[in-house]
Amino acid sequence: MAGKIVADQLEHSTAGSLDTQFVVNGSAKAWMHETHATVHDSLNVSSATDGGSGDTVMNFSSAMSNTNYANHGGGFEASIGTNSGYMAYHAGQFDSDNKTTTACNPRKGFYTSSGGFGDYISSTVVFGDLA
Amino acid sequence: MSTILVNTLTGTSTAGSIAVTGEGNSTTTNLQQGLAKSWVNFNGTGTAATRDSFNHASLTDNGTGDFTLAYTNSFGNVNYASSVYTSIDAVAGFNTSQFGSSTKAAANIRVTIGYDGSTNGTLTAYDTAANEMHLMGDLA
Repeated sequence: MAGKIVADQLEHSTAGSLDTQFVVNGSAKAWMHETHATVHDSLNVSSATDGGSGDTVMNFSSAMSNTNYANHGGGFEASIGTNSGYMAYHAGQFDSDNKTTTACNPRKGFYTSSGGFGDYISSTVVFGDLA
Repeated sequence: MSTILVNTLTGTSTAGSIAVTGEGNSTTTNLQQGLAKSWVNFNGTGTAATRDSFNHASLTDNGTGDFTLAYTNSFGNVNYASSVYTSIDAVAGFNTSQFGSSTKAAANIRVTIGYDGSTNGTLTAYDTAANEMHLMGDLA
């Protein structure tokens, strides 16, 4: 490390100031853009595991401190008049059972009478506390 | 309390990479990678208009439920992560609101917004008032 600054606040000459707690707590701790476990770009993702149709496990490089982190996603490739994706976490709800400190399991699907899951280009972002 | 007076933060070893110590004091996260590079809240009904935004240059209404949002500063590639939230109003009374990003470029993204009223997975285009998007990725 070239250097380290310990400070509680950043102040811009014209744009105002910001407590550094917002930098630490407000920054996304992980994100990925992927298609069926093929990661196109990411932060703090060691790998993505293919769990089946529409089921991708996002494995963190650096673990979260607990499972209370917020994860959300979207951005599916679709067009009007075709099946369009949406993010679901098993049965379309957030399911903490699918979150650990080292991985989360966002599932994405499409809304049909059978409620099928499908593989779409998707994005997931995680906010919370690093271990 | 200490305050740093600064207009630009730049890494010493790598200009675009600054480490921030995480909450647990044991690991670091990358400041630049963890910041949203663009976000926007816009109204898609009537004359589409942006309510508030960051790194957002323009909003183009291409038709019902079809919008192009351009960035002030472009991304370095098209692999950025996009999340869009939209809420179909109660009057519509349909099952779910959905969206797709059918066209993504470094300088803009085209999103389609609609609902699935028949539970068959077919998206019907719709203009709604509540649309929010944020983007994570690499700036050019």
